[in-house]
Amino acid sequence: MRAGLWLLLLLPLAEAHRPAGDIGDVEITDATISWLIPGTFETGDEVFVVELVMPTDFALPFEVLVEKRPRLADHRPMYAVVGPGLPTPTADELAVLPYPLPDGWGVYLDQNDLPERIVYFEQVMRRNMWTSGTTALPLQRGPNEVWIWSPDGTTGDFQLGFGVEEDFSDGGFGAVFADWGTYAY
Amino acid sequence: MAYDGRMRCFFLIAMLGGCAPEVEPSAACEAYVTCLGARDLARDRNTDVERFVAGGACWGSHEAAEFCTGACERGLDWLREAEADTLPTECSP
Repeated sequence: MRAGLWLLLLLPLAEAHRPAGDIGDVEITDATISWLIPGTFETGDEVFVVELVMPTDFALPFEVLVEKRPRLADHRPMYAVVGPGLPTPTADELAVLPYPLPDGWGVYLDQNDLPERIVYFEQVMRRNMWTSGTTALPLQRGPNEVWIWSPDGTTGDFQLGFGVEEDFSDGGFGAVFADWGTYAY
Repeated sequence: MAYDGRMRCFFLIAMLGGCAPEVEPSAACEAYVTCLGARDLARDRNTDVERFVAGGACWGSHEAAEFCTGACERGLDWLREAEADTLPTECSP
């Protein structure tokens, strides 16, 4: 399954990511602000794709988060940021990727395999999360993608977080209240 | 005690929110920004790093600073490894 999410960026512009609706059914208009996009591996063989159309060359942090619960202890979604200007992958990295790389694109691969998982207290929804660790990446203007998959076929929820600048000027939490079950305990 | 102009200014700034937490940029993010600047020069690019420099969104709270510092450390470590053959000397440890 290839779940797609279009991020159409208009202008370049946190620690509290702005929540979006479920991955695959939401359109984000500005990826230069901070976003938290939830998804769920139902079967474990899905690959989620987030498309980022950057309005300018732009450096920003990425991470994948999983709620810190015993049943998700082995759930470590892997992600790759792919796009022009990123480094050419090694053969080992290419072998891990779920899709062939478009011509001329490079990759940042995060295998989410730290021996001791980083625990992060998410202050907006007030819960502990395991994070892959944040990594700042320099993306080039134009199309880029994030691919997220479950290498061991584990199932469960995850969240993709990226960006720093907050912008809740138009509310921003509408998706949370419209889909409370995704976020609430 | 009479207030002088500077003290009135201080209280005015405080009332307007001037006392919000402001953290100095970390050495890790300064190194990351320096590296990207040199990398851009070699590639004829111009990467927006505004959030990582002084006054950027990374430095509005201690939590944000910790978040960004970790991102800069990991981002620079990754660049040094993945682009070891082409990265400018400004990116060296």
